[in-house]
Amino acid sequence: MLTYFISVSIRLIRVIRVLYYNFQMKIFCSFFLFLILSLSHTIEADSIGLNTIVIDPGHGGSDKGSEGRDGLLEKDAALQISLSLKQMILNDLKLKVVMTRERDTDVSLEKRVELANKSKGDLLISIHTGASYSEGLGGIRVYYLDYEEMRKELASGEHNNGNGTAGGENEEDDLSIILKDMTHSDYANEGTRIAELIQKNLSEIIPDQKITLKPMPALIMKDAEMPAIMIEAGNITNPDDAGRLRNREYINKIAGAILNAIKEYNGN
Amino acid sequence: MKKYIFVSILAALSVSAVVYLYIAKTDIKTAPEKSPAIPLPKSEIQKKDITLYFSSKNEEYLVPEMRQISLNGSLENQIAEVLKELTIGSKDLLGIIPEGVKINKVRIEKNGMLSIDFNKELRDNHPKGSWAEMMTIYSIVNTITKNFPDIKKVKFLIDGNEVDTLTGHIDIRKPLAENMEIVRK
Repeated sequence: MLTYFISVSIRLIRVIRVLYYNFQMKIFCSFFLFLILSLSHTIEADSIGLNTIVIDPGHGGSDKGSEGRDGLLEKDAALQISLSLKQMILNDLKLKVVMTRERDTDVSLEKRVELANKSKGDLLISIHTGASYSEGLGGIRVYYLDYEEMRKELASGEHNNGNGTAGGENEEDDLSIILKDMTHSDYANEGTRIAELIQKNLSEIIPDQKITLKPMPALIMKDAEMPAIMIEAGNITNPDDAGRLRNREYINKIAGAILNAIKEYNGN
Repeated sequence: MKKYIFVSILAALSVSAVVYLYIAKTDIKTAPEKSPAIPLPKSEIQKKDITLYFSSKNEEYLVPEMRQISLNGSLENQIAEVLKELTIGSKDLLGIIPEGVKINKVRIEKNGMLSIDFNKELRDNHPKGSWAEMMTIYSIVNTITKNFPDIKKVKFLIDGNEVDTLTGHIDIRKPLAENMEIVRK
């Protein structure tokens, strides 16, 4: 009886020690993270500068994207705007531009993310056109990362974690989730700022079009290790919008508005 | 004399037996006549108030629509019934499940997760705009989580296969929880 009591109390003490140790570790980790966070913010505040812009023309190859009644394809319109934007950035800003595709080729979303992250881009701009059920609906949409949705996923330990280790007792897991949460919240904030600037610049250049701003849990924005935005430069299912998207001048206006937003964000 | 008594008893017995059988028979006969009357109120009880999420006419947000439908069988069957109702569409709102969409299989997994296997028409007949994709996905997810509170997350499959996105935008690699941010009343 006595030995049983002793063994139980030893176990209890062990559990308490482990818990106490974990608690201490957590305090230490959060302090450490706070330090990194405050440091990174002071460093960032000094130099927001963009070096590499990743332009992602949506769809391509066998993936046509959406299709207009007149036969205009999303993949073609997206590529035209992307190429125009690339040229403007190279001419005006002398920044490095990485394209996820430059021709009408198949590139998987996974590959696009890999290309963007490998190039250590500072901003990802994914260019698409919209499509609705109703033909009458037109307009431009600018999207930023729906960080709230992503956070729910991170909290349940599901994002990019194939094994789905349950429990979260592993300190390393906790730490990597907190770190990921922090970096992505930073990316989401910056992405939202850029999306707002694009909306503002678009409404200045194309005042007659409706331009809406929305959060979206899009795969490419979630997986990009950089601030990211997505733009739908008009509804291809709307005959008026499709007509505009065939027009070189309109394409240059869209690219020009994005360029101005980048300039404004970059402070030049 | 004894013979008469015996015969009369036998006759009486057989008559009463016949009468009894007749009554019993009519009882059995009347029983099925009564039985159709029983399921009527029963099916009325089984009719449930269901909330379906359709799109506003301007395709900007989801709007709930109440409907009464009868739900029978297993939970999986009931979910399939509700999904079918969603594919039928709405009078006042815009249905955002593409034409020809069929549900191959509905399966309840562990931890409050549900997997729905759609045929490829969900992808192929979709307009393929990213906001339209968002609306289609969450009209399904929200409709299920709203009507079946035990289901917390919905995983999409297309013809039995896992997919990264429906038409190239929204991440559906993992099961999705409800999104009430895009709902307006």
